[in-house]
Amino acid sequence: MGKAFLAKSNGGGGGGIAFRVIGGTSAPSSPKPNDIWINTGAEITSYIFSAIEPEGYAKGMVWISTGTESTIEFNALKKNGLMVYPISAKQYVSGTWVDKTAKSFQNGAWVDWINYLCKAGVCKGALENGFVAAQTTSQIVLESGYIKFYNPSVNGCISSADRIDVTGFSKIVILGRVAFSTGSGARYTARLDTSKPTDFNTTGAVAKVSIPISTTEAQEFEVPVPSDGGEYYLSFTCGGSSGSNGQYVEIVDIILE
Amino acid sequence: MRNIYIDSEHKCHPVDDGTMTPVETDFFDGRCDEFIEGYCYDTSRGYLQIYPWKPYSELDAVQRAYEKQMLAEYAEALKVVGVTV
Repeated sequence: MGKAFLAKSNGGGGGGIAFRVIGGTSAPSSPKPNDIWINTGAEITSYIFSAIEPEGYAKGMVWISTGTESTIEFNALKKNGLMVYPISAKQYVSGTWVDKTAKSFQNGAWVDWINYLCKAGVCKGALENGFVAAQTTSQIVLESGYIKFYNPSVNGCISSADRIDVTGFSKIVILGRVAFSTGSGARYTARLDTSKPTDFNTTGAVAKVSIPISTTEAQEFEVPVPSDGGEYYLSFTCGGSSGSNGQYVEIVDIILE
Repeated sequence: MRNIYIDSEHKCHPVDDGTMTPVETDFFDGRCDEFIEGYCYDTSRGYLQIYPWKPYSELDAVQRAYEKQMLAEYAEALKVVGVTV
């Protein structure tokens, strides 16, 4: 997917443009098809569509990233066709890019842009450097459609290589499971930390959620994030096990909402 | 491990007011009472979630002030027995 650049001053969908980019902390009251609502209290001064970080920026600019993992598509032009695939939005405020939630008005309703940090086991965005073994003996295996991890002996942990900025979001939604039915569920957790933990007992977690146990399919569960945002490592912990008998954790999708 | 008490909104308290549900957890080991009161302990979705409902920066500041006070008290106690830190 090639990158699509459209940069203009904020405003209505003039000329041949078939969409508008509208900022605000509540949904626009009279939306038109393909309107994009950026949930922000800061004035939008301009916007740009780009698959990579723009080289230039200005206070209030919105960067709409594009790519094949988009769950939204729309024709940007009133005549002819220019399909655009937005993924997520950031706004340049206080000297840095800040994540903003966004929706598109399609078929009479506001549709969320789903901010995948991991889709079918493939990490991207803030998780582009994936996960690392925070407990040194933890094993990370990239299977088809999910990340599998376990620890052959002592309690284990894998952690995001980088901190995730959760500012402006309310939760991390994860599709995953503990793939066996016995054992201590308390050892299998998803955590947010200011520094990388090494197992489920590491103290100081900012948030901690138990991973659902299922022998059949992945389950959706949520990690609430602090209301004042911040940057945190996302980690997953497990009990000591061989891994070969199915005592492992599967992570399929990770979404920032 | 310690007991904390959960109210009807899943908010945590260090002391039971007579209406709360006790739970035993090690999540708050070493944490001061004011820090605990900024958290939720929620099992309503069928799995456990422990997370801050107050801004975490405020809770972190409260906890750091508590630890600083504890260190000062330890140092004072050690001074009494002739140990200077």
